[in-house]
Amino acid sequence: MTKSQLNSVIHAPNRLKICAFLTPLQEAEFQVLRDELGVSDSVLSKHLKQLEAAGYVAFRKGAVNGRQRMWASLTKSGRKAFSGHVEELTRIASVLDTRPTT
Amino acid sequence: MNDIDNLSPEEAKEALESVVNMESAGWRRAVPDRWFGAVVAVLIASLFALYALEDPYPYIVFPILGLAIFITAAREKSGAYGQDFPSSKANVWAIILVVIVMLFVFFGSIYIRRAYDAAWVSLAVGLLVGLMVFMASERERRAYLTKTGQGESN
Repeated sequence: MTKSQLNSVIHAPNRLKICAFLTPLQEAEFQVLRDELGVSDSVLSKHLKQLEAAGYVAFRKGAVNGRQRMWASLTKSGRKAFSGHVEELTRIASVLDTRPTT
Repeated sequence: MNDIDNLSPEEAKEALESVVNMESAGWRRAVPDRWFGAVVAVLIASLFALYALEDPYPYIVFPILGLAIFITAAREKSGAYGQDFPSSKANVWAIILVVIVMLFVFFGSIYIRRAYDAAWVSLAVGLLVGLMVFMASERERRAYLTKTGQGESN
């Protein structure tokens, strides 16, 4: 076990997945995120609100064919925090490579 | 993966695997369709080729508006799209260089068109620029596919 510097907001599996999915993207629509994560609207909303409260995710509303759609994107601080979290995970996981095999 | 202060290497590895999977899913969503690059290339080519006309200025608004409407519509339809601007410094400089070359070609073609009344120059430049844009979009598409691990076959 290792005392870590992981980000407690990003650490939850669904929030980690949201950040990972948004990393290569400029924006993703709410429904796309929901389908990729395989969660309900309410679960996704809850996680997105937590990420928004931390300043890691921003939203934009837009209308397509008269329907309201919400788009989410990672903010600059969100990208930085996610990158730091992944670095820390990599550091912790690297222990596996240095363990002697028997 | 709940005890954040005492995460085991196995749990960290599992989390990293889910990160890789979701990043791949993001890249897959961001892959632009081939027709997207083709339509953008045609619209940009028409913007350059319009200078073959005696008075192109009343028509310039059409390809510009067309580009704005088409890109917005394609993005709204896809539900996700990649970064507008590359993050690496090398790519930013490459884009600046391409824009400078394009401007040089653009104003050069207008000069030749007016000085020698050679309308074909604007048409040729339009064709050349259209091909360049299409090739660039194909290159970007291949780069995205490589990141999703799908390679050229898709």
